[in-house]
Amino acid sequence: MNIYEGEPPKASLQTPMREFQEYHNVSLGADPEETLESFLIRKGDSALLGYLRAIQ
Amino acid sequence: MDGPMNVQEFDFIEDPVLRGNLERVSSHITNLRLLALSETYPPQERSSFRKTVIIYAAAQIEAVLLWYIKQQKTEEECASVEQFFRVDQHIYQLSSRERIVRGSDVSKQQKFKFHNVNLAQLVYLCQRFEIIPKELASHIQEVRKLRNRQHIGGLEIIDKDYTDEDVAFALRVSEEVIEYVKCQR
Repeated sequence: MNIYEGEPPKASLQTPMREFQEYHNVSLGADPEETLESFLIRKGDSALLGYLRAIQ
Repeated sequence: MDGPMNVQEFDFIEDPVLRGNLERVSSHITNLRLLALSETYPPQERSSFRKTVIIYAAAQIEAVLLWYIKQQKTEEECASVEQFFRVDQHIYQLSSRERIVRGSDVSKQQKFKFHNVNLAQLVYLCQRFEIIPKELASHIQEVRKLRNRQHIGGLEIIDKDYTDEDVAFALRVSEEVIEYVKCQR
């Protein structure tokens, strides 16, 4: 069964984590309503955070 | 109210095709980076996600550097010039290995096309024109070496796992390149 439908979530810091978790059907340990930005801050992923801030 | 779909990425790039391609790569980088955090996948698959992030990051650095150099230089300016001594006339044979000749110093411009240039050549050109700092060029070379491990035919050892630190380094260099070219505009 193909679980993937549509385009992957946009790589925006304001994208809710729910979109990533539902699209990939995985749990990333995120609160579904928290944004990618708050998730990355909580995880301490400063590299992806800095990269996404640079492109936006 | 601005939602996530309204956020403009790479807004310093006017070419909509290039910007669209860079945005797609950013989406892949983000999704794969997040999947590499998920324990749903076994370690080797997570390493593979990291490797793909590095390949995408290098592709994005290459595209941004190409865009940056195209803003400042023409293909003709980028073409290197080969200088050599052309023998026009053999005058006298001194021995089986030596002869006296008449000739000229000749300069020949090499062919150069932006669409054929690779990351190593771009770094070389940026250094030749002194349009990026040496330290940044060195960091890009390190990402290129990480990326080049995808060419497994030439590896002398079995390729090791890609770590979170490898990915973090590639993303930090991407950030460094993007911030630098944005500031130069």
